[in-house]
Amino acid sequence: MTRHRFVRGAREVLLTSGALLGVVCVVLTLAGVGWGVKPLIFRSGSMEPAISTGDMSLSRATDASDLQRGDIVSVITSRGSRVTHRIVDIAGTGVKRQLTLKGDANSSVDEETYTVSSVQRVGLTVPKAGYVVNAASSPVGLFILGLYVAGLISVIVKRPSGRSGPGDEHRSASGGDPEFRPEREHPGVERGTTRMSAGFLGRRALGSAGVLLSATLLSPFVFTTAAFTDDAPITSTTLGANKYFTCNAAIKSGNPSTPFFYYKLDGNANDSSGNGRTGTVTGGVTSATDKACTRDTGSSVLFDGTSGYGSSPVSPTSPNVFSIELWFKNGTSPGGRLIGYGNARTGSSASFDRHIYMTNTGQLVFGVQPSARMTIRSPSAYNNNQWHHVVATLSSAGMRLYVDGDQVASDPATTGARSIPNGFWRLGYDNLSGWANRPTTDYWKGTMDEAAVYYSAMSAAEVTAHYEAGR
Amino acid sequence: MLALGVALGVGATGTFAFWTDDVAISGTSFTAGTLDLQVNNADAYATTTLSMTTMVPADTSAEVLTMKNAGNVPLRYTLVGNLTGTDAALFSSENALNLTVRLGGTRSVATANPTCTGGTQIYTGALKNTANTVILPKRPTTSVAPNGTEALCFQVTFATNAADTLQGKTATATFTAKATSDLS
Repeated sequence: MTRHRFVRGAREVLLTSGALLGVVCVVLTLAGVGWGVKPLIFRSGSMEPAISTGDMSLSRATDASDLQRGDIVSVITSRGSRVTHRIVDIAGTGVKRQLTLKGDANSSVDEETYTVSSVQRVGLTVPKAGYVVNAASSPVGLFILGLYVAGLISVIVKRPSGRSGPGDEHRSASGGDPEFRPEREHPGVERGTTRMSAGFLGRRALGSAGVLLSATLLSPFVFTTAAFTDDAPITSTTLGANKYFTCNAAIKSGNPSTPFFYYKLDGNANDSSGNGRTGTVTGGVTSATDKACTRDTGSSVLFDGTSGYGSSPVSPTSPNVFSIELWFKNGTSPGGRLIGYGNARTGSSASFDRHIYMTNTGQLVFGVQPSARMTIRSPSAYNNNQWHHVVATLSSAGMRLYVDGDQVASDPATTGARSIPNGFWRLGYDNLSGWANRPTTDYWKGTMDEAAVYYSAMSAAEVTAHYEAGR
Repeated sequence: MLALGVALGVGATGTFAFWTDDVAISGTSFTAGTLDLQVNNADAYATTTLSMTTMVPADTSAEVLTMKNAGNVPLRYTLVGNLTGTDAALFSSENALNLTVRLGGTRSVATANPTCTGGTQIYTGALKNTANTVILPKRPTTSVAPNGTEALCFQVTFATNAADTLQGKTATATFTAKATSDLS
């Protein structure tokens, strides 16, 4: 008798505990069908502190038009996983809305915006309940539950009806099978009630109904990620295009001004400035196939270093504010006079300054002669058989010499040059008598391209832009 | 009440039974911890190495950016990026700026126009001005484990045939590696 009571007591404890889960399942199943209620089990904690990992929340299907910012909703990502986060923005009108979601614990919003017409909106949250459900659905849990079902079915069926057959065992073993079809129990149960009390009849009916419901309705539980997110920004990448993509564009830009002349030196001294100051070419000057500026058309000219030079038409004034610009290439020493100003159009001038010449060691010198001969010289040599860009400027800011876009020498104190009215700009040769570091020969030996003179001072930034244009 | 419990208990079991066949639930794990993706060991990385301030057609810049999982949960990340600034639309419509990403690539030592070499090219395409344009969706295929890294060499190329209308124009490229613990 005592033993029977113990067994009976244990059985009732089992039944009672199972009942708790059962109540939850069935109520949720019914709610799911009736009101679109779906329990969500949180697998991660990005909604903390509102919802923690392992919590279970009840959610209800809600039309998108009824949603508000701050609501916690559950959506399916484009990758098919379920994410439950809080609404931070709603866009759109009509049935479908675009939701921007963010986990409370996340610093950034979800990478995806979700277009929905209806979503599960979270209501009540039960802390830690998800762990219980998950444990129950584990293989071990299912095995235990399977045994439990077997026991229950035997309790329900065997006791009142006195029937206990192999069929029951078979069904019990398949407690974890969704194909489980308990409906077949109904006739048996109904028949069995004839000898039982009304109370027992009700219990059996309920039991059968529970089995029926659970087996035929889909699982109400849904696992959801409240995915953590974290943004790592990569900033400050500035992508600025140079002001000019070609030397032609730079020289004709009007900055610092329209050139006095612009010789593209495509095998000749034609003026491209628009001022019609076409120059003359004398002696050993030939067309070279090479060119200084990568994206420009045309070619360059080669000075032979013994007789070749070019001359501009006359300049009525000898400027105290000017800029000289050209590209050169030579691999030989000595260098010679690249460009300058003198009183003679041909031969050797008697008055001469405003020149750039290369020393025997390949350095560049810029010289003017307001009274004494003033020069500034580059520290580096450039006779390396590569194209280089040189700019010399004179203005109230003094003398400046730039090579390949960078200033390499300056003299702020020298702000004027020799007065030589009605002089000529000379390319490739003129007198250098008396000048510091005078090369062995005054004739330039090498190629030259894209030469221009402006009667205004080019800024350092503009020099760089002109250089980059040809790079 | 006890009987009710029996009945509903069976109900619960039936419900659980369904789950075993539900692939989405198998292997369910609960995740707790911190998610922290860093770029070159910084939560927010500002770089001028990729910048080009006097670009001319065919210019390039390159930098290796190392994505690191500095948290304690596995992560995947999506790299988005786009151009901003007044001239961004022009660069975008001209497809003038191209981004190439090489997984495990290295930056060439050349001082002028460095490039990415080696590794595996995992992206190449024009930088656009559309906000949050996806460049690398959900990397890597599996996940970056805690303390794991993934080195990406970024190379920006200014189109060889860039139009003259782009002369003097400037845009800013911003990228964001968006990490998530959702490994699906």
